[in-house]
Amino acid sequence: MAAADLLPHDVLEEILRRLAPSPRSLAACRVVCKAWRAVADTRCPPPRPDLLPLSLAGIFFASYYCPVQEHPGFFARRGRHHRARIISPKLDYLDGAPIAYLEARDHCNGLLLMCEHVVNPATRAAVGAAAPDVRVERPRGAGDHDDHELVGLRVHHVRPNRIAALRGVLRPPTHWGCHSRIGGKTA
Amino acid sequence: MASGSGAAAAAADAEEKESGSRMITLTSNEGKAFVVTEASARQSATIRSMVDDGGCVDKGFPLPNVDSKTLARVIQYSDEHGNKEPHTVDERAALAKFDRDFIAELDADKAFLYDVTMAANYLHIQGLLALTTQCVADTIKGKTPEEIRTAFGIEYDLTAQDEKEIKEEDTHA
Repeated sequence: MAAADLLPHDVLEEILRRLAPSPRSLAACRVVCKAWRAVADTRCPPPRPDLLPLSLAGIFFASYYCPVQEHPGFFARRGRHHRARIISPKLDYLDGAPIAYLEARDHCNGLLLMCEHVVNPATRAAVGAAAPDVRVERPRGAGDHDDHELVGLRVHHVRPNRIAALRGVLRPPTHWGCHSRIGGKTA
Repeated sequence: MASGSGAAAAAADAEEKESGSRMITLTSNEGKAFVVTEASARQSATIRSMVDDGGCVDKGFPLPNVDSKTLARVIQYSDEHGNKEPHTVDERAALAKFDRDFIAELDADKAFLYDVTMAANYLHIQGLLALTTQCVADTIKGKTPEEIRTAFGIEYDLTAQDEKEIKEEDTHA
């Protein structure tokens, strides 16, 4: 079926567009070959964030509830999927960050706000919290006195190759309640 | 029909109405001629614009990019959609069932599915293109990149730079 190799770009675009409801498949298509990657990146709209698959892989909890460790704890179900788990509580991709900086201060939309980083545990991507493309906002009405109030994280002007990793945050929060979207895997 | 003796004229008139007036000849790249109703041919935006631009209806349309087997199948689709206008719920359901059966048959023969997809693209038959591309998309869904490459016979040609980017994005794809 080498014929498919020769699918003209407009046909390929038509096909990949139809994968928009399943961003994971679209993500798979991006790493099939050069031609597919080019079409997926240039001719397909980014997946609508509200269509990204949502699942609850576990719940992070701040380490101040658990004095024996500095890292945020991760509460997840054990089971045979244990090893295949997408979300890892390990923050080893924060290379060189001093251990004191690995305290989760807050979270929103599946992101963790660390002392110096914003982390998406689903994509294992991190950007500096002080980076120019990250803005940490306080929701209106949130009291300054309460350190544990949820913080809205918005990422602006993300470099293109970071978009995939941080796509999960492009959705503006629909409400400011405490929600467990940590399991939301971005494509 | 003003002239003509009753019955014959009425029959011709009825035939004309039924077939959507004129007949159009489409020729495959193997030189085989297919005669279809204009209504059926108008399913193709490519042919529709050529017909509307006037002229060459009588000479027929050579289709150098489409072989006989594919053209026959495409015509089967456009006949069904062009010659009938579904009015009732039942008729619409019948047409939907036709589409399902049509695509199920193609799905079993992927190489032919691609041929029909390309023809639908070339002839700009929107409905057929939607049907076939959706079918290909469904084939892709849930597959890993490696499985997609195997299914489509695609050679892996990503460079080290691409791989580095992919690693950076770490999409878990």
